Amino acid sequence: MNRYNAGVTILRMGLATVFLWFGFSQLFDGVNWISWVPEWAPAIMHLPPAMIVLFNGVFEVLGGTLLMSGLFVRFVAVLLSVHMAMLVLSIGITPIGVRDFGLTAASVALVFLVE
Amino acid sequence: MKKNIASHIVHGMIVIAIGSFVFWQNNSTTVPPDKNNVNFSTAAISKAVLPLPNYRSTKTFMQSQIAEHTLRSSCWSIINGNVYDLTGWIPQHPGGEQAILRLCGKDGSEQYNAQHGGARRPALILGGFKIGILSK
Repeated sequence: MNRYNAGVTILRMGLATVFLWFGFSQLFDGVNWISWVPEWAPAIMHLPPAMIVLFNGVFEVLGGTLLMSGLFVRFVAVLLSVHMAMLVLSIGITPIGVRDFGLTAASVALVFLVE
Repeated sequence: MKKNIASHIVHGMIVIAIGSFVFWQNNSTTVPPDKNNVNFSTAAISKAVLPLPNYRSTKTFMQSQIAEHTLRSSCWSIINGNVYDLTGWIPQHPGGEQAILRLCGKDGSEQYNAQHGGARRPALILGGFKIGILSK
């Protein structure tokens, strides 16, 4: 494995770990996450915040699993990039928003790096 | 081929390990509610039960149906025209169990609005327990 492939693998698995962690957390401890659901989301999706959290958890676990396995990486990275960008816009310039901006940038980087 | 299968197995085990760790961590964290300092800390609400994905939040209920659920083991309440199953929230309410038990089987709008009216976080948490709306 050359340095480029090693770097991409580390980036991919690091991001996968993050999405898996937070995805499982939303599935097992959803009430904790309800307050993070943006106010526009229930109105647009016509779903209660609790269900949005559950669906988001499933999405992040699936995305994280595919990233971890190295399957459909570019496609998953695009979806997760868009997902994270929406979160950043919703959270704004806070410590968590800045951290999530870093995760967004890492996801976008993966889109460009994967062959 | 064998290397691919082996790597997928390893990746799958990592996914399961992360999920198991998160599950274990959430179930080993319990903080008793502090009755002198009412707040909605994340630790205090970590073990409340979420409604199942197949809940139909537009299902209608008669007031008489809500009145049948007055127990700690099954506590329903009407708040601002919506019906909530607060059973899972009773042990986790930061303000104590009695504040929720008082609402079981009845319209708790007045009490809820007096305590939390206009506050975003309690409203969002409450939304997670919605099971339907009151029939008019």
